[in-house]
Amino acid sequence: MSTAVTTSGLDVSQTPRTPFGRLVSVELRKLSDTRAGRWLLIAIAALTLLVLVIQMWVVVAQNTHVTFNDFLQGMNTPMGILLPVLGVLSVTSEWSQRTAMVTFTLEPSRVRVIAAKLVSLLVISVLALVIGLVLASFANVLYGAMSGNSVVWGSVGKLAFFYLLLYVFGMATGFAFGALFLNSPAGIVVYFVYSFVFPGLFALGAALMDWFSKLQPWIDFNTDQNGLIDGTIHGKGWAHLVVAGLIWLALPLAVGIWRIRRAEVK
Amino acid sequence: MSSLGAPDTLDVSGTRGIPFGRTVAVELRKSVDTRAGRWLVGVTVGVAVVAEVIYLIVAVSKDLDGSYGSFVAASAFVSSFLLPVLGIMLVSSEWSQRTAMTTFALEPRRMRVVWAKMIAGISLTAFVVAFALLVGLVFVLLFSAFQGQSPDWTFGWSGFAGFVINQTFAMVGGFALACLLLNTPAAIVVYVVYKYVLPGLFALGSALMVWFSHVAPWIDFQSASANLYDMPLSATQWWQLVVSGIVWLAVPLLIGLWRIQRAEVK
Repeated sequence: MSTAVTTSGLDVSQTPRTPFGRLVSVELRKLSDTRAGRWLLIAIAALTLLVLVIQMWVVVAQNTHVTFNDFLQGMNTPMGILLPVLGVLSVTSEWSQRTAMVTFTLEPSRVRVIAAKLVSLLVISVLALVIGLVLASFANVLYGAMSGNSVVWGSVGKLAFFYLLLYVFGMATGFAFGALFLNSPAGIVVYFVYSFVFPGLFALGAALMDWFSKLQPWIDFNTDQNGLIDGTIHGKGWAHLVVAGLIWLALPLAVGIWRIRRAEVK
Repeated sequence: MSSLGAPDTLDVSGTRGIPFGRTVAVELRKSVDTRAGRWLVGVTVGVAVVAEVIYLIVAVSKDLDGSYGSFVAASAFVSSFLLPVLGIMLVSSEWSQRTAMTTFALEPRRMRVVWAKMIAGISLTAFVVAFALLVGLVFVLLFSAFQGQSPDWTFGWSGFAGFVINQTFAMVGGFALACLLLNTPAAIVVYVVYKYVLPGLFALGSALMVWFSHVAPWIDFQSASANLYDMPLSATQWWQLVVSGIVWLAVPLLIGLWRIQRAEVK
């Protein structure tokens, strides 16, 4: 009698949970083996290359003096816009493509899935940085050869660290907005409002009102990141970055994770 | 025998096609009775009011321009960002929500559906424009009450026409991109790049290269249509509007329509 009862259940108490490394590799695969994800990655790479080619052509034709940092900045334009979209889609596609049911059935600990997604975004950030550095270095050397001007490198290590921070911030912010809304269009639109509309409004407010111009650096995460882009950030700039980052990155991320943990999986 | 065979087929040769008015009414309903659509229209209207309130506070405290035109411009700033998203979702949601099968089964003449969507989008644009004009009216009266001066109705025919045309162009621009890409995130990303990144690139290119500064006015649809705020336009400006409009509105729309006509309905 008792044996009949026990066989009807599946004893998984001894089964080890899915290793975290496997979760990360699965999330990485999900970013690149769907049509949307693959095209987004291809678009990022293609646009980055295109921007570098145009930039090279313009600076050589105009005989402008440029540095390694200028090439990094040119490259940052497409990456800075599109990497966060990848961050948004990495969360929201689970809901829009209705894969969340499978994902959270295979790994019911949702926080582990979220952590795996964040780590996979970090891997993509590092990858983007490496590709970016290689392309920019190549462009810089080529520029020296084609223009005959001396090649200026600047502090490459510091810039590499700054750009890694940029990509991580961009992707994590996109991820946070995606988690907050669990809806691709809403996440993307709000991210773009935050990154393209708000800086203008903040600058306008700062120009008009003295008290706001003192407040602005503490709440304007986008403008604070300009110090990373041109490599001039120091001292108080870091404090601004941390405070504004708490508002625009940590807070939405925390609310978003709380939401994913409780969200109905459809 | 023949009487038995007859019930197998449904004779629709005498049934009239769905009247276009009904298709338009259905498309209009589809754009506001889904969660995404209702929130989008709600947010557009809500954020426009918030923008007006902020502008009112700043204008009163700083004694800025409190004309009717500037209040309408404040809400136009918001709606010019969200109306295109509405235009995009009108088209792409058929694919992302997989309603295209039902839509095109009930009305197999796809172009009629697309034109009905276009008319629905223009109707919603008209609604948002009317709302902006009405709210602007209220806020001008509030401004004059706070400042103790008679309301300044400066807006003018040119400003009004420029406002209406630009908002419509914004919506149709999103609509065209959505037809071209049939994918919500992709269309939103491309639209944002077009709206916020391209003007900067055009300006940069024009500053660096003389030949490009001659070409730019002919391909920069946004600055060409912004000229409509300061009518009358010169003959050259009209032609620039037409040429850049063909590049950014007509070509994507035509390719998009061709694509919808042939797209697999999933």
